[in-house]
Amino acid sequence: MSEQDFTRPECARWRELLAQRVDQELEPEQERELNQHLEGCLACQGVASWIGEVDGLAAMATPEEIDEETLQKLEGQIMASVRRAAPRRPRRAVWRSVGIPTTAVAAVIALLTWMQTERNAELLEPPAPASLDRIEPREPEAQSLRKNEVQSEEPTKDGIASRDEGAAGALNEPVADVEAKSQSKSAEAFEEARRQSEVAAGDSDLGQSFRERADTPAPPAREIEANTPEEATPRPGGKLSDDARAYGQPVATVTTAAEEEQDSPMSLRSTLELAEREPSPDNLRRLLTLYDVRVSATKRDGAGRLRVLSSPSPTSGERAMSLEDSVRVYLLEVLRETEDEELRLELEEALRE
Amino acid sequence: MSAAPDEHHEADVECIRRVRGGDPDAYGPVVRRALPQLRGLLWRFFKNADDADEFSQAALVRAYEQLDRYDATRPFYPWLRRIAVNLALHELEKRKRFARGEELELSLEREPASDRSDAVTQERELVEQTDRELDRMPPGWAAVFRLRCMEEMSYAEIAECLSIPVGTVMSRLARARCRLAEALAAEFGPRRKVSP
Repeated sequence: MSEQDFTRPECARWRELLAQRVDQELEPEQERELNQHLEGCLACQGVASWIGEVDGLAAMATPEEIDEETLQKLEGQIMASVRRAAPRRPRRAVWRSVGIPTTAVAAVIALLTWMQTERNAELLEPPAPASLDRIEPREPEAQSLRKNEVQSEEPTKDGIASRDEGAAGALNEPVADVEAKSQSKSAEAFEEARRQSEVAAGDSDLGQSFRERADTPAPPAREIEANTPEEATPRPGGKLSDDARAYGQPVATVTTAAEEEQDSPMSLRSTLELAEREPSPDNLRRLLTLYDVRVSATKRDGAGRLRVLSSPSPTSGERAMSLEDSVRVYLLEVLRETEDEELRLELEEALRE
Repeated sequence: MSAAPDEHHEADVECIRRVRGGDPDAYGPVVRRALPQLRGLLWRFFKNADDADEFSQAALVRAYEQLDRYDATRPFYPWLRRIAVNLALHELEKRKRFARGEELELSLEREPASDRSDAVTQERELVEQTDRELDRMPPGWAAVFRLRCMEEMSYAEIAECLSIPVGTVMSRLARARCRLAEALAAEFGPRRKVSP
């Protein structure tokens, strides 16, 4: 090995000219200056002696020959993968085909989500005390549905009601039933609030009482059980959602899933926060993967519909939807700014639909 | 070996039209035409058959999944090559991040150059040294150099393939050549004519 150091930062300009000279002629003045420098610089002479050779040396590294049999085998593997991929080959989204930007679609989704949330909030808005009488006739229906709900929350053989089973069961219900259930839960909640207000004599502002109850931190599960033992007994191994804590009763398990997801160290939310803090390609890809999984699962099992229609709480519905929208909006920003071509392709693919 | 086998363009477009119409098997002839050249390109990036095979497969499947984005007025192979090069670059960058320590150890353990008594041995050593140096430099520089020297692509083609400006192509190419020349000069001293 040569003892001489050929990496000389002070010669950077001359090295650049040497490299340029491989592909194209220099300006006469540049050529003259370079030759003048070369006369006095042994390091640059050494580099100049090799720089015209490196292209040829690199080209000598020829690929291993591939025989026909191996080629056919590889083709077979590729076509097998292609056939497996065929059903999921994404079709061009309608809005893209007519030139509507994805960001505009995201904005519309966000708006619709907000409107749905507002609608849920209206359903839950406590009426004035005088109007409670008008809710009374719905009690039998509410009781009936409550009975069904309690039955559906009964433990399975192993004592743990599966979240998927709960979601699947709810999916089997007609949409109208789910909506009716959602509305009757509102009536049920008002009824519960009314009973509570009767117990707490002197509290004449029922609406305010209800709001306080919904907004204040939940009492421990044991306390809820003591208050409404027939309704609020949590499933073995399960936990109560915000809705359960607010109304003192167990509710649809999908919202519990959202809570569990939020609590997990590798949740979509924590990964989003990590990616925003440290937008490294690895963190962004992790976020993209989780987002993709979430959206795919939502599409596959219709959980999105359930989240909106079955949850009586605007809080949980809003949280689940807005998190995905937040991730989507963030990923769209990354897509606009990233110079990582591979990441860009992955983002485009995931955000296309 | 120039890319863009334009003579296949019409046949490729016809196959892709059928694929888009719901016939995945029509992709077979496209694979057959592109695979040898694609695999050769990827071998130059990875220097081994397994990776070349794996990433050829990944690139062709990815291209299939994204066929809706292919512009049928342009040749298919450059579009496929772009996907393949980006997949390879991403992988190489990932490996480089995880292998910095190992690379140092390997360079320390590497055996000294042999006696260089015959021209064939000397030439092989030069090629290997060039390869090693290419592997050490930033994957983005090496990719530009490989596409230029091995695929004989123009600056504009490289710029499009890597989604970088032509000026960046030129500066990366210059840096890569200088780095290689410096490494060879440091290893072997100033270039002397190889004896026949």
